[in-house]
Amino acid sequence: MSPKVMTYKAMKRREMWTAYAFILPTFIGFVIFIVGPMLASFAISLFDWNMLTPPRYIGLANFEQLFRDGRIGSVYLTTFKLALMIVPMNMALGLGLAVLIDRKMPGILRNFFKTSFFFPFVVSAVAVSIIWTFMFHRDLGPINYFLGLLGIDRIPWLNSSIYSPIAIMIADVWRNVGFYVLVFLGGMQAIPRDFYEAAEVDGADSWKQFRYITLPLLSPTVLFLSVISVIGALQIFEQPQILTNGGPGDATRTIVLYLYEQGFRFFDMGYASAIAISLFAIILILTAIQFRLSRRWVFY
Amino acid sequence: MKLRSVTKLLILSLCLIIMVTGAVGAQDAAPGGEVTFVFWDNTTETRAGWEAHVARFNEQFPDITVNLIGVPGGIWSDYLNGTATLIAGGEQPDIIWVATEGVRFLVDLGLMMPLNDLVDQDAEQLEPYFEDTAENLLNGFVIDEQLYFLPYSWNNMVIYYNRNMFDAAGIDYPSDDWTRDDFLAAAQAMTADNDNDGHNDQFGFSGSGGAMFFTLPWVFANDTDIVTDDFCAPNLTDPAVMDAIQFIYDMVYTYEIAPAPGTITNTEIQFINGEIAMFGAGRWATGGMYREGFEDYDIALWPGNPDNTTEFGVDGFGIFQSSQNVPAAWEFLKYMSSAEVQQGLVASVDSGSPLGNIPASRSVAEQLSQFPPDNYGAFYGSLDGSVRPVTAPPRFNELESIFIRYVDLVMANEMSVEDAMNAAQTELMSVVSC
Repeated sequence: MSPKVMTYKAMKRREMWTAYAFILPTFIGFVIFIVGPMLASFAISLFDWNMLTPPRYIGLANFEQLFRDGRIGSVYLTTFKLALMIVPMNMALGLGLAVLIDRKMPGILRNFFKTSFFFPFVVSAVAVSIIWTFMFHRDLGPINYFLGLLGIDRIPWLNSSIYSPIAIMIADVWRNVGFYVLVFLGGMQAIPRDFYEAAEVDGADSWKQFRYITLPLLSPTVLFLSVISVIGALQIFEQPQILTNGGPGDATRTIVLYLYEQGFRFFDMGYASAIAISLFAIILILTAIQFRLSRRWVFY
Repeated sequence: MKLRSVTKLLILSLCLIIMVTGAVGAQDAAPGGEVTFVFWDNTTETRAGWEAHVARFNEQFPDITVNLIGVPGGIWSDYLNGTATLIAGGEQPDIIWVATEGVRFLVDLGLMMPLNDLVDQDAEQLEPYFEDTAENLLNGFVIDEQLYFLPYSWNNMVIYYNRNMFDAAGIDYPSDDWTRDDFLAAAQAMTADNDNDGHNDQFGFSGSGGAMFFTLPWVFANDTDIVTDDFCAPNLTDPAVMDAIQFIYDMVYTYEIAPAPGTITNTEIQFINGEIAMFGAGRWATGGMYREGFEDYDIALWPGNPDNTTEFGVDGFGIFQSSQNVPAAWEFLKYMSSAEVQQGLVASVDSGSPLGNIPASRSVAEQLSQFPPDNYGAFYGSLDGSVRPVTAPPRFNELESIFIRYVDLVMANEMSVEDAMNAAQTELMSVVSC
């Protein structure tokens, strides 16, 4: 009897099954925790449901309410304003810090910086936000103390329509920028060193190297981060909930905070689901636009 | 002889019949089976406390199995949300613990069982309970002449004042009929800029705004409410309501006797330290001061303008319409509302310090005398005077959210009282209606 020899096709099939086995746990989690609730949300949006009594089918009435709701426009506007502050800040600061860390320095120092910037990202957003409520305290907060040394009067960070969105942005960027630094660094380290050496021989200074080598070759990373960043910024929840509870007024009430209130405070799960679907549609459109525009500036 | 045997047989049969029917009757009298109680798991001692109560209840009713489901949450509405989520998930609790804020919401949805028939059935047994419970607390649970919950504990809003600061300023302690003007004069006398940096660092008062329970006492003192008495319309454009909100604003920005929003770290500690002379709270504030060993304080009824009306909120137990085991649920509910169980509200089992709520039974509440303040009688005693329950129409959460959102804008100095109350009134039209 000759030993059994596996054909190429059989080997391929076996590899394929192994791959499926590896992704199975994630796939199951994805179906249970993402796809399931998403489909349920679509269904619930067609009902009037307070969780305590049986749901009542009302067709598209919850979606009609989206157009009659006098507050939803201002809440979306607040969300976009915050996103417009948070996304560029995270991107610019993340890139700037990554460039600084990417310089020649002892490995231990580089790891120290990477860990320091990334650390807030792994801490719970709720815990971070609670700490920031003390940082922003008008009378006792360290931020106003240092500003006071510069002769700046105490700022009501969390009780003013002007300053509270800035406070939310600072808390969000402080927590998330480390993730951007890490991904940018990964992108930079994938760029072959030969390009820089050749540029140096040609007499390009650091700025020109950054402008004509780093930035273009980093464009796929920029695209990835900008998509992730826009999605994340439009879904911001913990920071406004803990720092300002959406106030004063609706100054920091984001759309996710608003839909949470509709669903879990006012027991209107149908309308909350309709809001969630409207946000889903907006994110889908914005992401599609980002990918469409990326054809002009992303180099693979 | 034969006749005697027949008689014996008849007597024996009769005895047997009596024994059997008696046993069946006894089975009817002692309910059994399972009941599920959803409780607000808001402190580290809560679950252990209820488990101990269930154990004692089972000595009396060994055939009733009580399933305890704790729902965590920082405030009552969190607990109510958690309970709703449980029910949505298929759980069918028999008994719920609810405060004033959630009562009309549940009753309006037709979820709660009126208790009148059950109360009538056990009228004699419950007589001591009803005699010992203030009528105003019971009225908080009566809707359309039906009683839906039995009161367990409650709280009111009173003024805590630091006696040392009153003495130092040479001011008389508040009387039972003091007015808002008396309050303002006292607060102004105790407000100071001790380090001369141009900002007051000692305040006459702190603690209004931020939540409905802390804002309403000033409205009630003006003998009005933020919705009409029949809960059919908002009432925020009432000049008396606007006057109350204006006073809360003026305390910060005109009289400067109260700190701006977001500037207080710990009211009780600042009160103990002499940085705040008065603050508004319920019994829950006594625990912190007890643990700090601070006793130089007392409480007074809320200052009137002109009526000294006290705001209160009460919690109690009710049975869901969907309960499959009403007899057992009713027995457990009666036990939980009893004075025996309310004893647990007086002091912490672990630390011995006073707990946050006032027992619903007057006789148990009398035991608060073992702790400061000296005028502890103002807690329960307020129920014999002019009181109003916290304003809670069926859609309380939305009412509070909208009202406080506009009060916050006033307190952030970004909107006038008139504009804010007009806007809130418009927004509330669809929320508070009949």
